[in-house]
Amino acid sequence: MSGRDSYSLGQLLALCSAAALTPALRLLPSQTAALAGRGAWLSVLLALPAAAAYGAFLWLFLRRRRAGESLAALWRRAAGERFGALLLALCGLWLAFYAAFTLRDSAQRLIDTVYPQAERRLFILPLGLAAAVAGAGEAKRLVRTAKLVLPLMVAAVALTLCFALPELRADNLLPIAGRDALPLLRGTLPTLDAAGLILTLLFFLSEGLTGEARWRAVAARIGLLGALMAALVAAVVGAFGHELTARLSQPYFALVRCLVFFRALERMEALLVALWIFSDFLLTSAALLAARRCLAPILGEGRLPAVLAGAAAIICACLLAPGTAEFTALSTRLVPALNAAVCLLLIPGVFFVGKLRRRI
Amino acid sequence: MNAIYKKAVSVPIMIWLALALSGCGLREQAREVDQLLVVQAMGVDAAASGVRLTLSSAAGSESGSPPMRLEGSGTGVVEAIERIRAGANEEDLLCAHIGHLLIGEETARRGIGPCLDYLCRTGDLRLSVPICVLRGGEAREALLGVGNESYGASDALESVDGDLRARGDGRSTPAAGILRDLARYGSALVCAVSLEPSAEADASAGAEERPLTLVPSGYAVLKSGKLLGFLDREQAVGVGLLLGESGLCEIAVTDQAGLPVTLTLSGGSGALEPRFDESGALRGLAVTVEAEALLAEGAAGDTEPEYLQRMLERALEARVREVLRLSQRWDADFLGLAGRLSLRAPGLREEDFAALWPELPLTVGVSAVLRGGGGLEEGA
Repeated sequence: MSGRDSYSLGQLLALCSAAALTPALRLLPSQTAALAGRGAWLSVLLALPAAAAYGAFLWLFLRRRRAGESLAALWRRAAGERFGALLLALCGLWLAFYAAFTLRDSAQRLIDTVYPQAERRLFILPLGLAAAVAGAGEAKRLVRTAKLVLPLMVAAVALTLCFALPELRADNLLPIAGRDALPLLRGTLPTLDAAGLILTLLFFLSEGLTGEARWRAVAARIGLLGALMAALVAAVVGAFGHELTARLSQPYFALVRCLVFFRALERMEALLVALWIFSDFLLTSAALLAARRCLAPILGEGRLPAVLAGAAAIICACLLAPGTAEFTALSTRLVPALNAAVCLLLIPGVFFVGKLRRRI
Repeated sequence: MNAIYKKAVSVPIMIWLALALSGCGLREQAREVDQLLVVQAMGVDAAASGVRLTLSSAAGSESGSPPMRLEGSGTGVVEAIERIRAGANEEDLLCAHIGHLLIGEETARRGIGPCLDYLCRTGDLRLSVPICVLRGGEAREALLGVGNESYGASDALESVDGDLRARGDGRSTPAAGILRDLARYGSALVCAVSLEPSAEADASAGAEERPLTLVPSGYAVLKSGKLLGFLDREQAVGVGLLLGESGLCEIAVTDQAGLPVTLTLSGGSGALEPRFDESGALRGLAVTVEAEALLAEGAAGDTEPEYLQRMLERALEARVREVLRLSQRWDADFLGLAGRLSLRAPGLREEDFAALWPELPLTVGVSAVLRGGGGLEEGA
């Protein structure tokens, strides 16, 4: 990787935070409500220690790098030249697939909320091209973009949450009794799914970090994002109740559709949906960027891995889940399962193989 | 040269992206504002083919124009809207600002599930849209018949909302709340309205020639998505007290001489106290209501304030008891008592309450305070 393409931990956290808003909205309100009931907001908070533990493990793994050593070199050292490169390529394929899935998710959101009869390729192609260009470029441009976009998105979420406060009903959020413990634990799964993906991205993009990469900063960001997401889930579940939230495909935007701002502005959901394209763009680009780095040991340095990953993501997104039912199945079953396999088996597997072989 | 080349390529790409991502490429969805008909009220009736929809715009959507009414039918709401859209001359329908959904009584009896499913799926309508059931008629009658050149059904429904907010003997019921209550408690309250001649007086026209309007008519009670029965406006006062939403509505009592006295309820709230036995099982429910009222009309100077206060308490207790009796008889927790009780006693499961509710012993206590006016002492 070019030494010029470097960025600070703060910038990388901004990228990951902005990118996290896409899986968070897809997974958290409806799936958490379906699993955890009225304690969905608490489930988000309960998932944070596990997310932080996974982040700490990835940080520990990163610290095994020698001075000047790339992540790819660390994997090859841990798991063997060929096997390490193969496992890294598997991660690259997963990330390229996730980029495709994000493009499809973005199109689905636009279709569900603003353009009900639109053709999904109309949204996939422009966003996919923009993300492919960004993914083939320097990471520092992407993280700077995220640094600009993140405050805007957080402010938009915070504003909608403030306006949603009068809609909240206590009996939609409480009581939570001891018998709810199991559903609450099940409800942590969507949060862990989203957190696992974002932390994996952070792991693969941390190669370009300059300065001291402090774990405490990462942990604090996990806490802040978790609190924001818990507030978002509380707002949606508090307004609609967990039963209705679980039925809606885009509950957060359904809530925004109901809000009237300053007694004058209403139906602002289209603007907010449009704002979420930034998050989709950053997540897709970051996934392609990480995929490019993972595929580099096999396909070589330079733009070829990026071009191939970008093209594959766009084609795959166009072909993926043509209908809403297929998309829901993909979103709730296959993608979380693959994500769990990467987060719980593949990456820890490489670490422990390296440990067993006494190479790291 | 390289930088110029990059700009020459990237600027057109950015312009294309901006247009494509903003949806400007969707020619069939790009609509001119002056071609839009802003629909403000939707009526849903069951029809042989499935659903018959009636849509009404607000009056004056074009300067000086009367409200426009459209109707069409289809196997479902989506198809009916598309048929209306196809048949609307030069107007394109904008359903995003529908402010009220009116459902005919017969349709409500058959079940409003399909209508609620549509609301959950569509991106057009808000989940906060209030739903009303038209008592004794079809929604079509109201949407086509209400109003005149200067106002229509949507204006009448707006007026009903305002009236209910002030009076508290009924309330606007948003779709989201109905969906939640049906899913959680199995039953829900829906605002009921009825068609009546408006109060507009015209020397040249008799009462039967007055334009029709919509007036509040208590609540419709849904169970499993189907209309179970109605609560009239007096019973709706009891609902308002139990839910702590009572407003400025009139209560008629008689004074010691048997003459009518009108009291205006100015506030009230209800509290629930579950009674458990030694094993922790729910064995009863104590309902306590506190209310305040003002003397509005009547009552001779020699009437004892305490007497009026007792009469008021009796009148309110009768309303509250009647609502609770119907809820138990219908086995329908449309007041959401299970949710309120579970907040007070987190150990009590909503499902357990639902099983016990029809036979649960109740005690009802009402205490009222009559405030001054008409010769009564303040705080009497």
